[in-house]
Amino acid sequence: MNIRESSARLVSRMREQPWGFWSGQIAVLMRREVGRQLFTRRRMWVYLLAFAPVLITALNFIDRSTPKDTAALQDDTQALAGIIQFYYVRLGLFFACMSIFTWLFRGEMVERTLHYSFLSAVRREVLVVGKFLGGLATAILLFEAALLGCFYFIYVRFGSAGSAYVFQGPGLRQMGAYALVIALGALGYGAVFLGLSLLFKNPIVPGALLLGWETITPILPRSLQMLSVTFYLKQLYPVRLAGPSGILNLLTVLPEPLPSYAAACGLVCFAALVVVFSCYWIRKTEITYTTD
Amino acid sequence: MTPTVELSGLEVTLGGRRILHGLNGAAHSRAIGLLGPNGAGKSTLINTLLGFHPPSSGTAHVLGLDIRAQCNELRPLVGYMPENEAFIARSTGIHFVRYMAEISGLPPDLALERAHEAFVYVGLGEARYRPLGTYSLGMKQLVKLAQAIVHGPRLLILDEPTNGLDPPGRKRLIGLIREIRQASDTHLLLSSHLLHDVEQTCEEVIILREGRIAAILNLEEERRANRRFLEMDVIGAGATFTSALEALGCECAAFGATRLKVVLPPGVEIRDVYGLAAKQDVRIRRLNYRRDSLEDLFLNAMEQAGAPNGRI
Amino acid sequence: MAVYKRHYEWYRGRLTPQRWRSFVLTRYAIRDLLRSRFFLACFVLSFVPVLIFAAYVFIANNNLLRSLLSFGSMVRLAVEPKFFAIFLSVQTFLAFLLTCWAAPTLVSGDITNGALPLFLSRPLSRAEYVAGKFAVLATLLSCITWVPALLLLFLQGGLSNSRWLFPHLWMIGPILWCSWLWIALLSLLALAASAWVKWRMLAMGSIFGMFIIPPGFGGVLNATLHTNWGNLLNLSYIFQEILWAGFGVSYQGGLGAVPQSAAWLMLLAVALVCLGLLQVRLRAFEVVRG
Repeated sequence: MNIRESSARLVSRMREQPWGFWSGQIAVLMRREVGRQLFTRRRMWVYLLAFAPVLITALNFIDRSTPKDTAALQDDTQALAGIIQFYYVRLGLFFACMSIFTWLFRGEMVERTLHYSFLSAVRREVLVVGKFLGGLATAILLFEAALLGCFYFIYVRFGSAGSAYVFQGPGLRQMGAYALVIALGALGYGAVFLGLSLLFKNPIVPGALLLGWETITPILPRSLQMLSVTFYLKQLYPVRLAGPSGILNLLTVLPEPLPSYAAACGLVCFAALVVVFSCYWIRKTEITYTTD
Repeated sequence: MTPTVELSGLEVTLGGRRILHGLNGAAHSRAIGLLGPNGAGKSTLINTLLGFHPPSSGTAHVLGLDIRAQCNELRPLVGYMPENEAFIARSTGIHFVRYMAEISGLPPDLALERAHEAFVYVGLGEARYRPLGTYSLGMKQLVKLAQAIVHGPRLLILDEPTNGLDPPGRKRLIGLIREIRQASDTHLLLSSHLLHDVEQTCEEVIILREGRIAAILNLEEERRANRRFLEMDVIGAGATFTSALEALGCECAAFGATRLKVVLPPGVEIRDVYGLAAKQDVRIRRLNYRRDSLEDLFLNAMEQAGAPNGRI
Repeated sequence: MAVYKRHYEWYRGRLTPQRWRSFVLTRYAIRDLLRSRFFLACFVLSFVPVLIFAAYVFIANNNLLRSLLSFGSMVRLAVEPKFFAIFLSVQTFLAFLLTCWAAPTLVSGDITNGALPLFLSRPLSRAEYVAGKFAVLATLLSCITWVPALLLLFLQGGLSNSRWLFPHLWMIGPILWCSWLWIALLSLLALAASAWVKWRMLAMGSIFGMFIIPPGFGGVLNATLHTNWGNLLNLSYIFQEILWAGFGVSYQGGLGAVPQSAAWLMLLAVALVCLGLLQVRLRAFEVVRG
């Protein structure tokens, strides 16, 4: 059998699969997951993680005493870059994804409801993809909204100078880049935490190690750097931060540069690999509900 | 004689909702049953007596000790078997019961000894080294009883002890509770919505309804005072048979020509009725003899209208 | 209730004193913790820095060893307040990691499994219950903080001479109160998290997050409002400030300083909030509002 024949057979087999049915199931799972993640009291702290900086920037907006000149605008642009690069990418998004994506399956194990999903007429791979996309939609929705809020409150207080910066200057491009960073960050962290939650009974410990790993990767060889989510995200930052001192510099130092499209594609491929691995892993998963 | 439980205007409000409405009354017996439909306030009353819920007004005395002022003196005297599942994670049966004994104040060596004894006593001697997570529901109930008696309390409070047990398990647990009652001077406060359990183990019952006391009944006295009924299907009974029965002191009610309901006075037995029927050539085709059961008393209490002062 | 008699009897034997009852909780909890091999390994590893610092003290006081190890006379190995501040910084970080692992099940296990009514129906008050659980962390964390710090102090005193020890005895004060401040803060935070978060995994995450996420908020506050007050949300940082100030050394943490009084007030406020959370949560029964 030559390659052409086998690829033709593969294509025909793929065409035979009920993609429409699966995508319908994925849509249902996504809706259910978004509802479960967004509208429960237990998820309030994810809202806090996302919107606390918005509140703080709103406070700054209310504070009339701060200067509103060009230098202040540059300062605030740096502050916004700090909020996104230090806070959102390193902490807010990280912990929110930890909460959302580890809860997709591990949470159902804790609540002893996973067997209902496993017993329903849904392929486990479809379950993984549906839940993952639901979690991703939740994270993106919350954090993109928060980003928009921060952006608005940072520049609105500068009046016409702020509008000019956003609409005639680099503002919109920066916002687009940050929106991409947030979306890709959610995708990357989400995939990693999904995988960790399937591999480990308590994914918090590997999650903590991951936080350390993400911090030290700039000093590691390039091949290892590529196993980090922030490696790709740093390539997409539109504003370079005026370097913090000491060990904090590790958080902003740019690793070996990579074209933006390559960084984005790299992260998507990395996430896709992890999700594929999760799909494979969940086929072998046995449910053991234990008490702690 | 000090009442086992004495309630003086006890009122409890939880989450802004009044659960117990100024309960008044006293129960003196050694084994007291708390009866009531679901949501009547049985568990709340037990929790209040244990000091878990502070009364919003009034108070109660258990074994003569005020639950508000003398809670510290009261707790060492009490053994409590909760309604819900209650255990320590990742521990074996013996470890758990010993732990509870030590918390109650037993020195470690004596606690271990009594934990073994309690396990053997409740019939779980073989399972004592197994992790609690592997116990069946019936075994868990017995372990809860073991931890409640391990420190040899004067008052045993059992909240729905037979919940979820199969008939043999239930019989066994009831047997153990009766044995504890008979073998020592231990007082018992048993909450249940199963009348049979209470009837078999208790001497006195407090019947609760909607957070109020519907009745406090001494079962022995009630049994003694209870009326006995005969329901008969008869052929050939006329006014003379009824009059003869009334002459014996019975109360009679006839339903049609063939059905008769008779209340027997003390001293009159069924054989007297048979004798009378034979004399008058009345054929008794069916005879049903019964007396007021706890169920009748309970239903009676449930049907009565409400009244102020925590009593119905 | 002797086995051979097989009948129930009241217990009339001796009882342990009431004030020691809460330590039964402590003893059992420590025994359970040490049964975990992972925890035991972490606990043992927490003593590695102690050995390293002890070796440093030994080398600093042994001229022959210094020459054998080729430390020239130019290299000055000093054991002074900064040495103890660094030691306690390292050990308090390890204490934090140990707490993250050990604390989550301390209270949440009892709440999840419905064991609180069993404890609280016995002669044990809520305060004693909290004290018993607090003592678990206090005992373990003491073993890796102030106890080895004092041992190092006396080791240095013994290896040098009395002329070193007496002028440095004042360091016992900061060693003790800084360690206890951290132990109390960590224990209360961890117990509050354990009481409010039912699942071990989430409880661990929340303890971890309490020291990582608020500093992030603080950073945002500092960057946006051009202030240093956001550092008050960084509990670890303000503790380090207090610790280093206690040893009379200025802390080079890279963030702007906050006044010592504000730092103390913040820690006090956190402790009070944790106590309040424990007070609300530790009940034998949950009350459903209606």
